[in-house]
Amino acid sequence: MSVPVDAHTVAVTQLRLGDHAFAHYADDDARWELLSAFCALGLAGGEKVVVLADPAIPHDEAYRRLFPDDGFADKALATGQLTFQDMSAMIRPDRHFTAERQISRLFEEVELARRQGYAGLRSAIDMAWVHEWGLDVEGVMHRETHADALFARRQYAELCSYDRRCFAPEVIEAMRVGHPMALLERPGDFDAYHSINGLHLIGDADMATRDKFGAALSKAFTDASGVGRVLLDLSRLAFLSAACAADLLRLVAQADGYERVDVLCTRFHAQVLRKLGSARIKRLMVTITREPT
Amino acid sequence: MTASADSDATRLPLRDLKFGADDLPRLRLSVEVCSIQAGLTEPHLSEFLLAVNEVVDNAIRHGGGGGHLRLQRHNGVLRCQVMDTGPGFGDQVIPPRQPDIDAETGRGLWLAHELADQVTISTGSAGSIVSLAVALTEVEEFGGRP
Repeated sequence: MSVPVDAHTVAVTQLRLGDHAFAHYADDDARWELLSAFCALGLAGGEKVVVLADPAIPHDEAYRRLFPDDGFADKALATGQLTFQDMSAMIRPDRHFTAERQISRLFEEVELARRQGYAGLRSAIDMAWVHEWGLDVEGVMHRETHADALFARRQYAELCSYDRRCFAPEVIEAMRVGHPMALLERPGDFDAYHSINGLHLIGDADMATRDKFGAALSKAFTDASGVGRVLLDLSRLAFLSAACAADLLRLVAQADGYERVDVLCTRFHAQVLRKLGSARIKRLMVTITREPT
Repeated sequence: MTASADSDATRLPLRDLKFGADDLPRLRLSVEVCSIQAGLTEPHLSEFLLAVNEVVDNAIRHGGGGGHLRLQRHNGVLRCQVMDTGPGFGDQVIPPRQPDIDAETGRGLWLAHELADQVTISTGSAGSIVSLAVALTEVEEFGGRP
């Protein structure tokens, strides 16, 4: 089962406090890689991190899978910056899950994290607990789509990770659409989709994904032949290598028949394109759309 | 950028990793996490990550398919050494001017040279050692509380 990419798909490395994201996996490597990236970047950024792993996996095993590098995060674990919890801790003193109780407890945890001096709180949640607790999917879906107040002050981020082997495809799709953001499956992935506006590129464009990156660009130019202009949206590219940036510039330079090619990108990617010669291509217009925060 | 004073303890490697062609995303993430913890902020963080990527990319393509990366912080400077097992090269491979859009080689190292505060290339026991350095604006304890 493939999971679509669209206007709310981003890379895990782009998540910040205030973001609420859907993630998915169908093998254990992908499961841990994504959660690991989310947690490590949170710890590095001075955030408190709570991991609610699959209830079937002991906390010490989850720690080893998340932080396989020797010693990484040991200090965070010792100081309480990193904690492993069960969902039962998130609904106390109740014994049965209600979205209201869980959200109320998360508000308390965010306040606590702020009082302790952290920038905010990020939760990494493996949604396997839904099956463990025998919850109805509709109730969980309601929680996922109505928790916006929790994120409004940009002091809390949440990643909800779904195992495609355990949830029905229609549930996966409903959860993907229901979250404000959806993630590419693994750190380092690249994907693209075409809209009526142009081509949207997401994730990492590097040595490993260069062919796919080039193919997406070539298709955009082929599809737009006769229109006279193309828009390339790089604003959700998490990484752009020199070789991929040069491939893009080469294609734009050779795009005879196009009056104008618009590139939307971050200030940093605009700087990289400029260093590599974008200003020498008359038909290329680079517009800065979004800043890393 | 202002350099901060570090203790001798911070001379210890923040990361010491072997890499091959499949490891680029993991390596970038690892360098990003350590660089943030060392106090590197935007836009220097993105610049450093791209510079490291280009040197690692070069080691994979021309330096024997992989290598060894060591990230170290000392005297307010974050330094990344990339060691490969290739035939070796000197800094003459870095083009003196912006490479043409159609150029096949040299672009990555040229960009790394543009983005890092300092780039040095030397010959090691088994191949080349490319060292990238960037000054830190502030230094926080590794894994510490804000």
